[in-house]
Amino acid sequence: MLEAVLFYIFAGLAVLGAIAVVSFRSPVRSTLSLLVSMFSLAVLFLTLQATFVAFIHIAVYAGAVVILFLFVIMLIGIKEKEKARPRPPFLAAALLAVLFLVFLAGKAVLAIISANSGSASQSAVGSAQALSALLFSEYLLPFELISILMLTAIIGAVYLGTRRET
Amino acid sequence: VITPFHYLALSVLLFGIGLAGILIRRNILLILLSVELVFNAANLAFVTFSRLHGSLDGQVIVLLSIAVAAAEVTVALAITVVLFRNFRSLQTDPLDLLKG
Repeated sequence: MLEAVLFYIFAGLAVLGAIAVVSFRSPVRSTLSLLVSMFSLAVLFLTLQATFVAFIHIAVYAGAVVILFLFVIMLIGIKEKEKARPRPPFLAAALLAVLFLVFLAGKAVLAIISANSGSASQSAVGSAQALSALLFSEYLLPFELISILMLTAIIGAVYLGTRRET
Repeated sequence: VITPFHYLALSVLLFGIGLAGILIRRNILLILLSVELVFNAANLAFVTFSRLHGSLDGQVIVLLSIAVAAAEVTVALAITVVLFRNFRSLQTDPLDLLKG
């Protein structure tokens, strides 16, 4: 019962936030709407018993990604707004493509659910302890590769960000 | 009763909204925000399947995916700043240097 109430409240908030992200013309408002959507998703992760993922999600998105976006918006100037409205045929084609894709994904989800309906879901709580045991044994190689990727991203961002006198 | 189907339906919905944003918006920052929505729709699907199968592998993948998303945002925003320096605008329309 509690899960149902939480799900409907925060799923609604997540969808509203997502719609606000794509419909606001001002980047600041879109970024803050993304924050609403991310926070609702973190609550949904909690109801799915993925506690560690939920807190990492808040830390990374609210703490890093949204702040980074706001920094760039402040750096560039918040006066920058979207001017040209998309042409109607383009808009219609885009919406049609998205609807088709959502339809295909919905069919796939239904197929997966009906294939899995027999097996009862065991409870697996994603605590920090359980996740780190997995992360540092079975997923050690991807974990190390991610750190190399992060280093590459930092070097790339610093290289792109420095103003070169030419 | 909330089934995994509800979560997957929400994931599909968020993915569709994000994809529509990528296709419709003309501002680079708004496109990047829509990409974040798509990332998170995928993360929600991973966590849901992790719950459905009672294994934690999906959640580990989500941790790795969050790290990749953070790296992606860093580089993409650096590119955005450089583009703004060169074009004095965030619109995607003038960016047709590679058009043959």
